[in-house]
Amino acid sequence: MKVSPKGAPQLKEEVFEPGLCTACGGCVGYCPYIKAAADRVAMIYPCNCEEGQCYQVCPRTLTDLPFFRAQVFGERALEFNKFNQDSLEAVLGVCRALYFARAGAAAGSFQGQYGGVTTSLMRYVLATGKIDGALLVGGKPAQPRPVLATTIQQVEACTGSKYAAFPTLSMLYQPTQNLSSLGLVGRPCQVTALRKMQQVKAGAAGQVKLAIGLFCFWSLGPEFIPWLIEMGLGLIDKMDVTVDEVLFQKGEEVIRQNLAEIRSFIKPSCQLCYDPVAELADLAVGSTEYEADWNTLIVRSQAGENLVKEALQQDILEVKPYPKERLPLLKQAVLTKKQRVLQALKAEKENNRVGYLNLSPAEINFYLKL
Amino acid sequence: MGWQDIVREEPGKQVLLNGNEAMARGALEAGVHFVSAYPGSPSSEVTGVLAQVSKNFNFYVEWSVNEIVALEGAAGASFAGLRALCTMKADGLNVAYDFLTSMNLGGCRGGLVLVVADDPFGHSSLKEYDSRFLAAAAWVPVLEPSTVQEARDMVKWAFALSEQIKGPVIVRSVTRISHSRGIVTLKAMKQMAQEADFKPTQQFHTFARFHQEVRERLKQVEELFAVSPFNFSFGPEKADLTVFTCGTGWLYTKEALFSLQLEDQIKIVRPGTPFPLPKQFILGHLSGTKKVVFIEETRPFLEEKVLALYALHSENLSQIKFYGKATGHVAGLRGPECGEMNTDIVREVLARLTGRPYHASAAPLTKEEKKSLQALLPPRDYVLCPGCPHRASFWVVKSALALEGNNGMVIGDIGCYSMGAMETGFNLFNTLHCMGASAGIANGLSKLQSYGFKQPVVAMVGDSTFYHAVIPALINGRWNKANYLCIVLDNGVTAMTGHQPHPGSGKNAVGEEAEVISIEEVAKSLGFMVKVSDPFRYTEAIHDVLKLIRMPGLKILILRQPCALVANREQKRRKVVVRQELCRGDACGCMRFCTRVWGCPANVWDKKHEVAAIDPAICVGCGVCIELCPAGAIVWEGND
Ligand SMILES: Cc1cc2nc3c(=O)[nH]c(=O)nc-3n(C[C@H](O)[C@H](O)[C@H](O)COP(=O)(O)OP(=O)(O)OC[C@H]3O[C@@H](n4cnc5c(N)ncnc54)[C@H](O)[C@@H]3O)c2cc1C
Ligand code: SF4
Ligand code: SF4
Repeated sequence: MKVSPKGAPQLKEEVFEPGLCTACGGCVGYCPYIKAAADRVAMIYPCNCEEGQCYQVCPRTLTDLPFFRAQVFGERALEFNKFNQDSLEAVLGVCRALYFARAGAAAGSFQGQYGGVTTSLMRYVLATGKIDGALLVGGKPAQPRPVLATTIQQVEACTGSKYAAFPTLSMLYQPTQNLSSLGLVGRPCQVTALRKMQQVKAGAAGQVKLAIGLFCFWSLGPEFIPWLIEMGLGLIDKMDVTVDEVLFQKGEEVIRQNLAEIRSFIKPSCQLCYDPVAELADLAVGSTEYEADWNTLIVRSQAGENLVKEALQQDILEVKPYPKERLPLLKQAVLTKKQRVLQALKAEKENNRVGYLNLSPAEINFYLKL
Repeated sequence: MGWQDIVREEPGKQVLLNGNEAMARGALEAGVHFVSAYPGSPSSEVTGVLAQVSKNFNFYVEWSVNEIVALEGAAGASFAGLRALCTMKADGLNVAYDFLTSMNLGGCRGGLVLVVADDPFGHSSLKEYDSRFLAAAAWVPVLEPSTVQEARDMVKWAFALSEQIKGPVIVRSVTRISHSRGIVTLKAMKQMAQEADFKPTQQFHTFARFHQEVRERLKQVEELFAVSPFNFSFGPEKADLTVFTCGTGWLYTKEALFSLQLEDQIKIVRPGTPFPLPKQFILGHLSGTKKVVFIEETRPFLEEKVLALYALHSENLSQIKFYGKATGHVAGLRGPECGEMNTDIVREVLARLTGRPYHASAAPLTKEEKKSLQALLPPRDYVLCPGCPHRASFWVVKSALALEGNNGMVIGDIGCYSMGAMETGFNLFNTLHCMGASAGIANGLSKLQSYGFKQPVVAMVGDSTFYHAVIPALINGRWNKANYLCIVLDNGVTAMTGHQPHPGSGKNAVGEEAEVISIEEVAKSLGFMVKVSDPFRYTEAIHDVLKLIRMPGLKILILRQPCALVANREQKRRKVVVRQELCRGDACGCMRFCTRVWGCPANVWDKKHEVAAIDPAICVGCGVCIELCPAGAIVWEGND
């Protein structure tokens, strides 16, 4: 793996100052110098540590993707790294299976964001003792809060997407109440940070046995929630985003606004995010943008595959084939995003490095020549 | 020593007093009835000690909320025929100045004396300056003592002088008079009893037409000064070289002449009444001399007055060459007119003029010399006390503003917490000026939105400062829709100047129970959104700061914890220890946060084991570092 002997001063210069912090929380809570308040992360005081964990774990510092793919997926990653034009994986990342999925009949009664796949699986691994704690985001969209869920009820209380980025990984530095195995639901940047944390044995990252990554094309910055409150939307129960609209739901009432209304809150770090579909997760879950009660589910790791199998047997999960006609749309969305980011970062290209990413020449060529 | 000596009824007895105590004694010997002040170094002990002894004598003493209120109260007593003393530091004279300049026109009745203590070099002040210029601009006579005994004498005489001229009199002290000790021969104390009455026919008004009356009053003062024993000379009757000096310069000059063995060659002229200048006395000593050196504290006040006098009378005087601060010849390490006077400065200029061999110990060092000397000195920066709640408040605000982003500004104010502008306060303050300036500046900054100014603004004021000067600025802010967060650091006392009580303390100057004027009640009654928080609860306090910053308008957050010195005196808190096996020390994740950054003097570094430790002798048990240590290595004793 390529690492740089860098620390807090460089994190400040390369990530915080240009506004590239994703608010993943990977660097928050280990030291007294980096703190978070709600969805803001800041370096409070120059710590001057020249070789620091904060720099190593950040998803916006040098990230050797081929290395981490190999770490998480072993042999499968080698195949993937060839970047075969026609393969599904070249764009979506390591993909053992791709489905439309939703919570099964035995999953319990809760209302997920879409198909409730995420909650259903987290609830199941907790109930069966595969993990004994899950790092989630609870609260309503305007009052998100970090939750280390240890009961089924707590997991169910965390359904629904909060579009503010929330630094939940900081919980990995808190005493984990003697929990031995943990689960994480995170945005793709958080899953990347988790893998980097596991690499340097940061906090309790090693205890995370299941990482469910959410599809994420952007999240919203710290100005978003004050805006929501100002708009009188501080108490909404649910928020959803479609291709051109944003929906705020309070009880039965749904308020629709043009997506442009919230575009200005998109975090600058998201504009440089190369990973909209949580490539390093065990399972990646998104919307279908087609059938509201279903999720898109990408099965990535062996552990993820095993879990899905078991969940299907137990009726925790229900799947159907990913509709062929939707596939080009999904691929195109991811491809466009990746190309745009590589182009934005290309200015800094050197060797195999594009901006903060370390990629193989095959991968760079694959995207840039398309 | 101290207050027992001040109340001694033994005329002729010699006691050792500091200058402030001596001035207090002077007031007692003059039979003072009314004393008022706002504390300020180096003046505080004059009123402080009088408050201690007031019960023995039954006169009135108060700590006032600020200097103008103090002086107005004292003037009231004077109008009613009583003797009144008002003490303040130089900065306080600015606050009292509007009233002083007004009242001086209308005059007063009972002796009204102001003790104004300057702080050359700014040992315990933000600014260094010379209050004599203000006194002169106000046309108020000035006495300037050179010794502790003279400080007593002058204060005592000032009451009589004030009554004779029916106007206020200023006694100018400086740190080295107020805070150094000297022998004082006690004199009898005057009986206090006197009826206060304000005659219905009497009027004290301020009108421009009284300006000429003050001019006449000054002429009268000048006549009195002409025969004052406070103006004297020392050494040969005739000398080519004469030193004109006042205040502390007198002893420095004597010492310099002694050590250079020049006592029989150089004459010292010591006017103790620099304003109005005793002209005949000065002219008498100018005549026949060839060179004049001026030695005085801070700015060339005496020098300028004498030069002007010489210019007016030059046709009757021979050619004289002048050496002083205005000419640049008399200068310390900070150059002329700045910094404190000392014997070396005097020696250096006299040696130069007389050709006496002298190696100045205060001569500028070479860079290398400086470096090697500095290496020998332990670093002695300003530092907040162990367990000081201000340190916690600063860290809270520093953290909150970093989290808020957008370059939040912190507008500082005057008190112990002025150290927010220094390393020990994490260099938090963007501005620091004078009592109450923070709220006013914040008002202005927060009105600049239409010019594109969007940075969050936080004003930080102390509790005593809140009562002293902040309330009008807050009213202004509310009226004009200012938009910032005013944080009141409430430690319960006026800590900086020696823990004097203030309107929120529940005690008055003489220790009686007093009404508590609650900061939050005052703020609420003005319509402010107010929140009280504990700076020792770091995470909660940050949350409160962030919440309030984001609310529109002018909000008030009170960060309340008693001053560590007071808290520690009242009760010893729990013991804090380091579990050294958990300490990360120099490793990533800490980098010695507790000793390097947090900087509480009780957080120390155990060099032998290369881990942190707590100095149990000075730790006050606030426990803030327990929450801040990232490794959980700092714990309450018993939890280890
Ligand atoms: C900021 C953000 C942007 C997204 N953008 C897209 C997108 O562009 N396209 C797409 O297909 N899908 C996107 N998603 C994913 C989608 O909204 C759903 O979360 C996902 O499909 C899972 O649905 P579900 O029914 O299984 O959710 P649920 O069963 O309701 O579970 C939701 C889970 O998400 C977690 N969560 C909620 N908010 C956050 C957050 N801010 N950070 C980390 N975890 C959180 C909760 O802890 C909970 O476990 C986004 C999600 C987020 C949080
Ligand atoms: S992206 Fe994550 S690791 Fe990087 S600075 Fe932000 S919170 Fe820290
Ligand atoms: S803050 Fe804690 S870990 Fe760091 S040096 Fe002090 S005791 Fe050790």
